[in-house]
Amino acid sequence: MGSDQISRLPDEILGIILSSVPTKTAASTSVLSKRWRNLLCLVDSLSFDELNDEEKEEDQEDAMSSSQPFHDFMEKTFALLSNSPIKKVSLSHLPFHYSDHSRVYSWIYTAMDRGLLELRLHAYACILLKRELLTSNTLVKLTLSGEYCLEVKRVYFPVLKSLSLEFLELDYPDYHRLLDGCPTLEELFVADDDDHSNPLCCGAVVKSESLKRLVVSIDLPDSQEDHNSMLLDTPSLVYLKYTSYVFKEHDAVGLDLLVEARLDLSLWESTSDYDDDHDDDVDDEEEDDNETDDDDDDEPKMPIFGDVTKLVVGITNITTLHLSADSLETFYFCCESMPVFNNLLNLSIESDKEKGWQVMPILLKSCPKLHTFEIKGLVHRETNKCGDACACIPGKHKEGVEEVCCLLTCQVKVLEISDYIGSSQELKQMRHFLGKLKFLESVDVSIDANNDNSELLRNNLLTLPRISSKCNIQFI
Amino acid sequence: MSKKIIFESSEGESFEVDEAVALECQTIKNMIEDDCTDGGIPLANVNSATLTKVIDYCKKHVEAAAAAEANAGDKDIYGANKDIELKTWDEEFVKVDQPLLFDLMLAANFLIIPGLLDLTCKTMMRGKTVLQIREIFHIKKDYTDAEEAEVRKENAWAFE
Repeated sequence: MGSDQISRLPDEILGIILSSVPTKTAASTSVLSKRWRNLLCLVDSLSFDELNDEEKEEDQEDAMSSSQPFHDFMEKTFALLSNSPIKKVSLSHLPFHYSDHSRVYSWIYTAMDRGLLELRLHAYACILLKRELLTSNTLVKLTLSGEYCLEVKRVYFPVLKSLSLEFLELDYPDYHRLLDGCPTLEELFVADDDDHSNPLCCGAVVKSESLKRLVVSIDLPDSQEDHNSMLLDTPSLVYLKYTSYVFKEHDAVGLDLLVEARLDLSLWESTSDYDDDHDDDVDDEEEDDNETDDDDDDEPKMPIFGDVTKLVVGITNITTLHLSADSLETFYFCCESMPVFNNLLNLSIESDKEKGWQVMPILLKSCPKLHTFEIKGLVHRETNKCGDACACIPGKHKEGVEEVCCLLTCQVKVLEISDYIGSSQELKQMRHFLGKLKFLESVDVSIDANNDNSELLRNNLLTLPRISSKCNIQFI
Repeated sequence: MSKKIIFESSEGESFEVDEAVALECQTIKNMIEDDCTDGGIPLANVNSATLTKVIDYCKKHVEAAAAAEANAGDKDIYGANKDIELKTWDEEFVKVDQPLLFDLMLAANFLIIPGLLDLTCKTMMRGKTVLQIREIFHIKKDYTDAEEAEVRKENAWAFE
């Protein structure tokens, strides 16, 4: 039997320990022994969650009837701490009865007045935050999530640095009032999925003078009509991560300071009918039922929804670009012309066996200073265009124009391949890279350690001819 | 060549560290400022196993701070990513058994290493129920049944 070391700890340490667990747990330790009876007053961060894990799975109706003890508990806790500073508050709850609502929120507003640094609010069901002036001179981090609606005349958070808006029901004026009320905001996170009545608003338009990091993740596959225009007006932005379906129009102004962009923009439709080899291979026979009026080989197909041209132009100063497999297709089909990325040093892409690489030659030609090229998975959908498995061997191009291989002029020095599984398509691709990339100095390939053939895969790669004498292949 | 500081564990084992690493400990920082670190610093209540871990922690955090400094221009972009990396390292760092975690916490408290104190405190009870807490930390009940009933009543919701 060990001794009870923990009860002998000084109050301030127990305060830190109890501040780091849900307040419910902290309060329940009062039953341990007399030493623990009145320690709740030592905490400086509170975390209340009305539903426990099982209840979250169930219908929430049941839980709603028994909210009273929860409110009493919250109120008591806040009252207990009314004379000590509270640094963090996290509250996840169901709609309150009106009178409870004003009671509970008055405690939160008081904490915001008295030095609160972090506030996280989550609404399990529709909750309206109604207030003349939402403000705090100390709040640094604010997270609003769930079904909150704001009805706030003015917002002012003079020192707020980080704002997260997750799955909110905000409408456009409220969203903008919120952003406008945060003059020193540096980080904004927006997440949105398909569970709402209001049209998409958060994240589609972002205007902020001070914002440095922006991470947006919108997943609304049933709301194409809402994806009309996306605008970034963020002159201080240095890091952008944007995940969504493509908008009809993307616009970006003043992203001159942007250093890194990670884009995952998906198309609304499959592009498999848009392959060039489709046209090339079938000669003049009319095979595609969808294109009965199209017997020309300059394919007047339905235009693909979306236009990222201005966004791409807006980000040309970046040094690091990451594109998902979907973005590769979006860049090919929704970008009228590819600008030159004069500062781009690192390009990383992900592949998907359903998605083509048609944009690769265009992209590589547009990155004159590319140093590191990182590819997660070489397996992609084969289309008969330069950059593919049979890359840069234009083969059946009707015009008979021999295209110059984009890789021959590519400056890339470091090639990093991950998720290599050694299919013949991949080996062919590697042969192509090693045979054409003149400036390669180092190739890092990561093969799954559990792959039984890893020895063989390595040897296959090592025997490939390399055009660059300095090229060194490593396996990670 | 940076100045070295020598720690001596409770077992009498010596640990030589860079001054920058030792400065992570507020207590040592004060001693260095008062110039009373010559001949090593005996840490009678920190054993070798704990001290090794404490030094690992301080080293890692000094390196991380130096890396952030070196990238000062890029800090805004990579700051958050580096933070995540360091957090992951911290999480791994505290995956130790209960007695060592306790020793680390006490050492952090004694040496005044706020980051480590916070980290170990956070790990102490995380994800545990009151029953588990009682068991793990060997906390004996000294309430009478009537007293316990009263405590439970006071915070009724917490015991639901």
